[in-house]
Amino acid sequence: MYSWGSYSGSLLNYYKNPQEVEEFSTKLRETIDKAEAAGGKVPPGVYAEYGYTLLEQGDEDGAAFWFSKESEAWPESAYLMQSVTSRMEPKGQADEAATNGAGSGS
Amino acid sequence: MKRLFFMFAGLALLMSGCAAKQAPKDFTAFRSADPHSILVVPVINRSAEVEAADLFLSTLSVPLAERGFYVFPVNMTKSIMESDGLGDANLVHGADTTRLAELFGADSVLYVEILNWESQYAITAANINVEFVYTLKDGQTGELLWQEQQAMQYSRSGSGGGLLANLIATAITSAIDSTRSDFTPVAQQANAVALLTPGLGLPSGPYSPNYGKDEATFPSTGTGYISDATIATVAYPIIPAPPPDAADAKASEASGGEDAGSSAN
Repeated sequence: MYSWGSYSGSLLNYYKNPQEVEEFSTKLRETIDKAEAAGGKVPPGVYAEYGYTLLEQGDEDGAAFWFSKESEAWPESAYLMQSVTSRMEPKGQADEAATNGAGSGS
Repeated sequence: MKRLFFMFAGLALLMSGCAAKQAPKDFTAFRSADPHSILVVPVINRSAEVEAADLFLSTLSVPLAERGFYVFPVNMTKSIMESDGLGDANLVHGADTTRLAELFGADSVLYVEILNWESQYAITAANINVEFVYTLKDGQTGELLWQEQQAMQYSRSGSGGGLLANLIATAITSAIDSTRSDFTPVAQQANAVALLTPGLGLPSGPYSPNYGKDEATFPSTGTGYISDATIATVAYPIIPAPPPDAADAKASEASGGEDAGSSAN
């Protein structure tokens, strides 16, 4: 049903080489870009997984953006995405609200 | 009952659509819970291969999502659990399912135990054996929704295999990283058989075109036969009852024995 790209292989590789979070992150972004370019639905969890790799690299604004993408694409994830976003430092939340319009569309 | 498939036999079964001749499970609880999302928690590893838990974790998202469920991002949820003091798989499997599901907003929780993850090398052949128990519980009630025990053997000797079997064997052999004990290609086969076998696997989820249309394949039999596992797991520490026909046979055997002491079987 979905275009997974290199998702499984890159996760496997990341578990074999846990220091390579950047590589894992890049591969996830490729999976997203390819699936979106092909007009298909990005598989469940991939936006969030990508956002989390950004968070691990210190990019809270980026993480919040991709968590909101996951939430919009998959309502089942809304509770968790909201929960992890609110657990970030308040500064990150404020920045996200300023740059992304808080994602509420109001 | 534990079913040991040779990989090719497993593939052939899937392709021909023939299930093992066994009573179907009872999907009443599953249909009633109707989970839309699955939280896959860290895997308990009972094998001698230390890396197996993480390697195996990477194989679950794709088949579950393709079955039509929302699958929580496994690496993200694993990291969150670790930072919340829930990094120990045994602890997580033994914890209250409803509280765990509440933390993530999950409809259901999937617990997997690795029973076997090993290779046996000889001069002329190589065998890889994997075995897993999958336990799916309801996030609202903690009730058991589905359980499956699945073994898979991959044999590189390939004796008796046809052209197709040999082609598949070659593909898998080249995909297996034996230096790292990466048997994920064999694990993927086990997952496919565990999830897709008619009558025994997991019904289609809400994102599948077959959602709600597979009642005949995965019936609500009312027998209460939900699991074919032969062991108790941490997440479901009860040895499941055998299939209904086997249970009937045992019951009559026991009552016969009580009365006469020697029943002719």
